[in-house]
Amino acid sequence: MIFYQEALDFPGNSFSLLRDLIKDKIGIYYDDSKRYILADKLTPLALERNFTNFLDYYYFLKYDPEGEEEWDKIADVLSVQETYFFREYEHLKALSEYIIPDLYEKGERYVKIWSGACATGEEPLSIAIVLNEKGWFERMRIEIYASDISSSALEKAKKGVYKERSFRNFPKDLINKYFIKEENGYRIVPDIHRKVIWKKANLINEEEIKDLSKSKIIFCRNVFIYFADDMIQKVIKTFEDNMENPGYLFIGVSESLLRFSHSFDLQIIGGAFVYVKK
Amino acid sequence: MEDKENYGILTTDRNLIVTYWNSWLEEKTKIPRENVIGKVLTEIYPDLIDRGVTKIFEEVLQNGVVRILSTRFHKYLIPIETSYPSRYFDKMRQRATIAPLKTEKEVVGLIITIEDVTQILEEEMDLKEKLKSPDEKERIFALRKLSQKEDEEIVEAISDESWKVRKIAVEEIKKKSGKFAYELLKRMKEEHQNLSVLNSVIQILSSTTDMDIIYALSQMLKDEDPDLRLYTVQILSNINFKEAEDLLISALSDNNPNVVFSAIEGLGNKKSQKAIPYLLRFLEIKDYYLGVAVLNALKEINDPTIIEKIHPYFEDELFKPHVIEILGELGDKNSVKILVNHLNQSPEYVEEILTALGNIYRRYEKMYEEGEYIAKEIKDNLKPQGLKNILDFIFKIKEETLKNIIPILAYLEDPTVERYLIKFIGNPNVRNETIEVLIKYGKEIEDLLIERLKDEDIEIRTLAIMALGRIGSRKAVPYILEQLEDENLTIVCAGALAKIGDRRAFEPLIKKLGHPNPYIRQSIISALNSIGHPEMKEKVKELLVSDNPYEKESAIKIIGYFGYEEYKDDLIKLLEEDNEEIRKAVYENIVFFDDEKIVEILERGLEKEKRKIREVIARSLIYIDKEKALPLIEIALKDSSPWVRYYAVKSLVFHNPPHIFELLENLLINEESELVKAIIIESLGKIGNKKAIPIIQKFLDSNNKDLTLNAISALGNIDHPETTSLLLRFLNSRDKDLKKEAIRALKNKKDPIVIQNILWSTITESDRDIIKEVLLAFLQMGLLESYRAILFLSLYADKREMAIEALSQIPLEEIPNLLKVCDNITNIEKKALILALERKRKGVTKYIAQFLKDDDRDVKIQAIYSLHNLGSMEEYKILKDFLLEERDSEVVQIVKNILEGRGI
Repeated sequence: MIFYQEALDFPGNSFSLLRDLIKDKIGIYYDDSKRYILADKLTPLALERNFTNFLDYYYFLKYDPEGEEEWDKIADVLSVQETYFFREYEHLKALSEYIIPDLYEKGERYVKIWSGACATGEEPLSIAIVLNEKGWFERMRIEIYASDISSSALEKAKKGVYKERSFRNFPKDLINKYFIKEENGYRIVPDIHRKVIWKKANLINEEEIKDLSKSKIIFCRNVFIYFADDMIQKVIKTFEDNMENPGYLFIGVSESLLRFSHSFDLQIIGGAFVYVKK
Repeated sequence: MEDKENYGILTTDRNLIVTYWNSWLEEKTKIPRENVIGKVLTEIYPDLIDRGVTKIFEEVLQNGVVRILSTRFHKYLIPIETSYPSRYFDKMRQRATIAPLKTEKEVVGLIITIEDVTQILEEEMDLKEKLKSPDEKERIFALRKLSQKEDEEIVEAISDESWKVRKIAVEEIKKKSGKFAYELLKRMKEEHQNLSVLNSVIQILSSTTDMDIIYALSQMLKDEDPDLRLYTVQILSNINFKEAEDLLISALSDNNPNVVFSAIEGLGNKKSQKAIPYLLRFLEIKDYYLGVAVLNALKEINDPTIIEKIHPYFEDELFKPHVIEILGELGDKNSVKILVNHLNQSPEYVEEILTALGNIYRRYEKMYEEGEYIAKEIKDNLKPQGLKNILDFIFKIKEETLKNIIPILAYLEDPTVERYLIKFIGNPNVRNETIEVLIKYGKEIEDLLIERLKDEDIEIRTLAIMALGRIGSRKAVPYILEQLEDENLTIVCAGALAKIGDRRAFEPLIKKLGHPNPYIRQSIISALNSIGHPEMKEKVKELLVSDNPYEKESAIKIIGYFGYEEYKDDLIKLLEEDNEEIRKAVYENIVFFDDEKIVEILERGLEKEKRKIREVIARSLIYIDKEKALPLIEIALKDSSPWVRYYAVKSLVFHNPPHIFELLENLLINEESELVKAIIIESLGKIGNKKAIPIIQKFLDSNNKDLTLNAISALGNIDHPETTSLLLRFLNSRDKDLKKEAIRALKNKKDPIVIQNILWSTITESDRDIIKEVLLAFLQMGLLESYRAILFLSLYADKREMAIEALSQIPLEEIPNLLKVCDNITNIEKKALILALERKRKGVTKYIAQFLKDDDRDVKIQAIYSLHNLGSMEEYKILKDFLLEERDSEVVQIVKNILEGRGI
């Protein structure tokens, strides 16, 4: 439901208090210029709890036991769900035409891939599609895990039905192969849909992503742009500590780990930038 | 003369591990460098701890301040034998400076300089003895000596009869220290590869020793090592010495392109107008590597007179993106033509061109209120292909650019464009701008938006409804009422109908009062309240007895809003309902009625009702009279639920009874909930009673940061000197939030000592958020001293731009007072002030004109350019009159060029 109402107020220093709390809990960071966007998104939640200003809402989140339940809803409204099939295709190409073949050559027959921050599922399904196109599921056991902090996004992912917008970068000839047209959109074929294991996980919460991080290949794309530096560092450390060796990390083409301390090696594989754990 | 090092210099990291040990120290301590570097200083000299020197190290590391060890209290820093048998001292006497080594973000170590002052002190002691001599000549001699303290031969030469000899003597003294500085810096570059650290070394050496750093830097620019020359240029770019600009200009002739590149960047950072002719030469010779640097530098320098010289380079593909950017910053009507013509021909650089056009628009709007002039120019030149290129790109534009582009797009008055604009209403960051310009420029905006109510895209329909509400369109009411039935649009429709306030909406809205969704109900109630229909009173009667509990609840809220007395008893009866939401609504609204039974009802509610309802009661106590409220508040303050107590405290503060302090104090003693403690501390601040100070003080070191923040804020509200000293210590806090809160709290103090303390802590501050908070605090204090402090901060390159922006916010009526202190400020500060006045635009011409009489040429030139940027006939008349009096040929030429450029 689209909801538009005058946003609530941030009295005193409540904007930075709330902003920092959100950053610490779910990693997403709103700088000063995005104050109004944050107010717009959170106003309905605060009103639902009968709060008339964000300072009271902040205290609720921080000190009230019921505040814990609220984070699910906050993650739903704040996390960006913008994604589509075959987004930043060069990564998918590098995966299916270089990394997986290379692993196969070296004798690997099992690969665990994790799509962190998968939103409504287009990314992990894209991974499954490109691997399927190259016949890799027949030659290796490949597990694709996909996680997101937003329950509502995961629900959509589990339903597997997508609208036109999701296909703006997707080859037309593959639509008929991998999707079934329905009244409300296009449904992913069950065979591919089954290849993805969906989980709810908060990237900031080390416990929640520890097992997922024990992957050979991680896709964590276009999520760091919403995070503060200290949170990015935290997530990278978790990846570093748990990923397989060698491990391959894909981040968004407009993102970089240059500012952060890590032991990944930035390589060009099949024309795409990949961070490799040695 | 062989150059000998006269100072001991050592550096350490944060853990006091030695990273540099110069040859003076090697010689004097007899400890070779390799035995020291990598060791902890306190391991080499353990007594530094006992003597309390490590505490000073800690202070410098933590707070980034400079400390000088006076010989009065510290005979020496490190024990060194005197190089000859001393009459008075067993160990060398030293004057030591301990300063921070800094990068952009933090203190990374210490730099310590040690000067041997043994001989000086001995001489002083001898001379002081001679002052007691019976011989008059001896006494005169002692007196003169005590006032000089220089090398003997040179001192004699300074007294020579010949002025030439005297001049050379002075230069020799400077050169001697300059040569030493040169060698020192060369060596330090090897140890400290980080430029910021080296920069901080320079700053420290120049402020705490008598070394001639400029001479050293000029020599370094001639060194055969290009890396050293590059380093030097980078340092020159960041330091605030007047001579740095000329040295950078000389570096433009370096044979190493990297050195030249950095010099160009540096001149851009310094906004060197003097450098412009030299910089333009690189464009003329089509050196692309350096040409791009020049374009960026010209952008920084921000001199609009160069625009015509830049236009020809637009056609050069390699320069194009950079030229586009400069045209955006400095361009005029001719620049607009060039940019739009490109849009008409090619979809390349659309974003860059739109950003540039937006910037020109914004600048003209802000400076001259002539944004429309630019928008018209764009419209007159834009062809259909150009418009298509824009629209194909429009949703990828960054928000900042979008804000500037929206008025231009609206001015085009194109129906396709307007459809796109409506989409922008959905973006809260640009919503207001979009609606404003649609109204301003869109001739048939109402019909256009109504048309959009049929759009397939629900987002368009939503935004159109929102916009129609904002413009109060009565014409749209029937169409909006149709959309009301769509559940996805009910809330936005209700919002729009509330704004429009048309009574035709009454009946349809009433039908929605029983909707199960609380948002929808609330929005409907707000709309009905806003419409205020005469039949409302009758209608609620039916709703009160409805079977639908939601309708009942809505009716209660409406009754409370309008205060319908006749339904008061009906409301009270509804307290017997099982439905909790109904009871909650009653308690929320019964407070608006005057009745003796109300207090009893509320009291019963506080004793028996569920938590959520008790919270509502506690919150509502602000709406009843103080005498009635206070006993109820006291009950609520003892409630088991922290939220009830929280709202009770808020209600208590609202009513502010005489014994409020004691109530809050007692509450705090036994309070366990952090939430309630937080509101109590805040409230103690609000009531402003100085007795609260010791209570609040306990929370300044709380483990709970919210409590500490509240305590700081509360102290800011209590007017007492003790709070000031408690707050000042947070200026050195490493926690950014605490520091910011302390600054906010201290702004209430309006005390020159507070201003000084904040100022000195800000000088070494690198966090932009904190600097912004400081500048805001100084502005809000509104004192001459605080404005003066802002001016002082403009001396620092990393704070200059923010300081100028803050200065431009000083109210116009305060400017004359501020100008009175101008005789005592540096040229850099004067230039900052001129730039700030220029930003104010209105009413500043006479103030800027005063600087035309300044002794300093650079200040005059800045005043000239600023008057030119203001650009009205008044300013040009002043410049013309100024020509008649000015004797400096360079200045005269600048003014002539400007006037000729304007055809005057």
